[in-house]
Amino acid sequence: MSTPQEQMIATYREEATELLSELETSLLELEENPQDNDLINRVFRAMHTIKGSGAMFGFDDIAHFTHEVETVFDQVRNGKMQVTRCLLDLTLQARDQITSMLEASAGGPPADEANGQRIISGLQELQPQVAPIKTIPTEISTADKRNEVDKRSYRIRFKPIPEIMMGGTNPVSLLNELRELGSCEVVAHLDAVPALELLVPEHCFFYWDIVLSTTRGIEAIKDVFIFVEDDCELNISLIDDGSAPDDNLDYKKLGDILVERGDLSPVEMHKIVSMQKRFGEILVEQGIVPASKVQSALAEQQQIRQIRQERTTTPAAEAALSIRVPAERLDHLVNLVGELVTVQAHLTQIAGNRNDNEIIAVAEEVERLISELRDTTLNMRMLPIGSTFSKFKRLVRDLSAELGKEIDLETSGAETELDKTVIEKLNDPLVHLIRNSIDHGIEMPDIRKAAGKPSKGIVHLGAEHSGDSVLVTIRDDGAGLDKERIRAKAIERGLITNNTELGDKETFNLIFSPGFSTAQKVTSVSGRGVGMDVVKKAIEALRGTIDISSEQGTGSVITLKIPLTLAIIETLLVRIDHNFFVLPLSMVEECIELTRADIQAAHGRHLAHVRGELTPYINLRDEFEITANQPDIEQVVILAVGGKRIGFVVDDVVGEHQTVIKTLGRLYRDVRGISGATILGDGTVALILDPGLLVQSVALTEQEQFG
Amino acid sequence: MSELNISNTVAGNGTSLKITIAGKLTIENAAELQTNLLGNCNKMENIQLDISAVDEIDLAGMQLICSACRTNLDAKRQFNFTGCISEAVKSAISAVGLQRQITCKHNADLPCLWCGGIN
Repeated sequence: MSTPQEQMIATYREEATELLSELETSLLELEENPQDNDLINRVFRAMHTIKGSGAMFGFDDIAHFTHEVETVFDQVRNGKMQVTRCLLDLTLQARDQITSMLEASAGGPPADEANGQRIISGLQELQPQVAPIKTIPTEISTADKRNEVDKRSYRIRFKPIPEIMMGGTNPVSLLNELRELGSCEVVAHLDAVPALELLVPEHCFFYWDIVLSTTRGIEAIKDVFIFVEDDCELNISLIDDGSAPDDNLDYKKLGDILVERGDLSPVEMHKIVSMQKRFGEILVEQGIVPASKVQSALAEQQQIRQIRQERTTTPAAEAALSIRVPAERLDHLVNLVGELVTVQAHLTQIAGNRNDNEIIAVAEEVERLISELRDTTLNMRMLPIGSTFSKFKRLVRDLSAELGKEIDLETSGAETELDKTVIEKLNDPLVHLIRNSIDHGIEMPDIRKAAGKPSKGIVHLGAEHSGDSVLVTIRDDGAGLDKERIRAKAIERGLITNNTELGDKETFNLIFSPGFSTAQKVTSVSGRGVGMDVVKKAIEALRGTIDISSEQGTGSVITLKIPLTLAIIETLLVRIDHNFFVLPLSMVEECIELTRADIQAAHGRHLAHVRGELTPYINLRDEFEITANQPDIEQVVILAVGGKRIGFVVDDVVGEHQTVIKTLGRLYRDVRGISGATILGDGTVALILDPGLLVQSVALTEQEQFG
Repeated sequence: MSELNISNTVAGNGTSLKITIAGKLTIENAAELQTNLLGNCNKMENIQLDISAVDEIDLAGMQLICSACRTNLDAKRQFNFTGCISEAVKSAISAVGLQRQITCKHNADLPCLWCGGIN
């Protein structure tokens, strides 16, 4: 077991990684809205946290480096510096540098120190005529941490001598300095203002009560008054030290405050209290304390109450309602739930066979609970896809700069949730597709202008739910696919013959053929296809589908349909002789009967009449060469495959089944049309069919047979 | 405008005075207004002060108006404000910490500068 120290360091790494990706997102957003103060603050906070906790866990190099960057952003935050492209470039580089420093500390290759030095000096050059402030980051960060917790409140009575303004001091500027220290309540007192004929206009007859809540110490307050020390009566007292117990939200009573300040004697206070009216009003009515004094005391009361309230509410909000769990523990849990689902299927089967009502009742209860458990467990692995999207923003930015194109990445549906593993495996194909869109899809600015399009191209990356799948679309407004060129290439490579008639979809699908890409790339024409076969394979490994539509001149849309989860799916269990197969339930449209008479009526063609419509079907018996025990009446399960209705003929439809997907062994991995296997309740294995690939392979064999 | 302009208008058989001040009311010229006020208010029953055209005021200016207000009120003369206060004056008043909810003891019920009494 790792020591607590090691665990904390691991937590820091995790947090820092999260912060760094947040930082990247904020920086890229900042590029679009350079005036957005919220974003600037977010960048600053991320830096600050990386620095602060870095120093705490002994990542001194990271703390030091981040400090330099933070210093620059402090200037931006204070409006002393503008957000420029150059600044953002350097900050993004700095972010990468921190990432590599973090990796180096975890045993990765050491970070390039010279590069870090270059970034820092670049940043410092950007700073407006300010010498680099050398401070020791460790001290700063710990001091900051401590002060953030302790917000103290002080009561200040400031009574300058009348001649104070003659010396050139403006008391108002002192008040403004105090306001900069923290939240401040200022009340001026007028009772010393004399009658007009006695008034010396150049003298100051006002005096002030100030309640200041600040994270800075009493010294900071004294510093404000340092030049007028001898010209005023100054009285600073701590009235709330930040450590008051939380249940004591109410501050002192008004009377107590006045007595404490010496504006009211205790005897007078008791006299008034016994009158049972609103204390402040009575005081003024009776002329014991001037209205301004009461008001000032009330202001103090208000301020402290508010500060205390803030203190009690913030920790509750901060204690976020989530915990961190290592991914492998979750994976283990999902595996266990998978086993449990299998066992439960077994139990249900036994219960059904026994015909014992008690056992059936228990089995049903178990089934209900397990399906709930399954859904909850799978939900725990769901992550919003947005985390991947932000990476692509950077990709688009860097790549378009490299190629001299102007491209914006738009995203939508970043909150769409997908299984963690799916998101991870989706990353590479998406990078590939976006690269393709930028490289081959979007044209150079001048060509775009000539074609009457805005010079800035748009790549749109979107995600949305659709049934039990997520649709991820990559859309660009570039040149689109050149059908003629694809066709010519395909004929050249012998993929199709000269007189093959192909629809748009079939033509586009040609670019997924292995080896097609390389040829296209060598000619460096605008066709897509750099390793598109690899992309297709990766998507199919996720049991997803890929679909292209494109119009020449206006752009292309690539749609990926990805199942929500990889582990457990709803299926339809079917039987052929003694063999069981499962079909994805999401694709099933309906089931119909197929009699010998129907087959004869179709003259041997594989077509079934469904409500007057001809539906082609694939006979799985023929496909899998199962000859024994063909029943007189068979069943056709009609599925929606790639937008078409296609039937699959089986002996019998058993029913719905929750399928825990098991991968096939190495030998069977590449069997076309079978995507995996599952274990049924009684221990038999059922193969999971992939309808899309089955249809393709049948089409291919027929093509071979009939040319 | 950087100078102080004071203009007095007498009405109602010489018992009402309207004082209009404009420009800068600061420590440099507060004495000028003080002299004016001291010289003209004594014979009046009703005094109106219009500071809507004042675009800069400092502590000395505020102090002077306050003193004039309470002096005249104590002498049982009506002392009133008219016109809108400019934003610059309003923010100067809040910077000094003079915004009030209730009038002072010299003032029974009349509008008070610190209560935002003139609108």
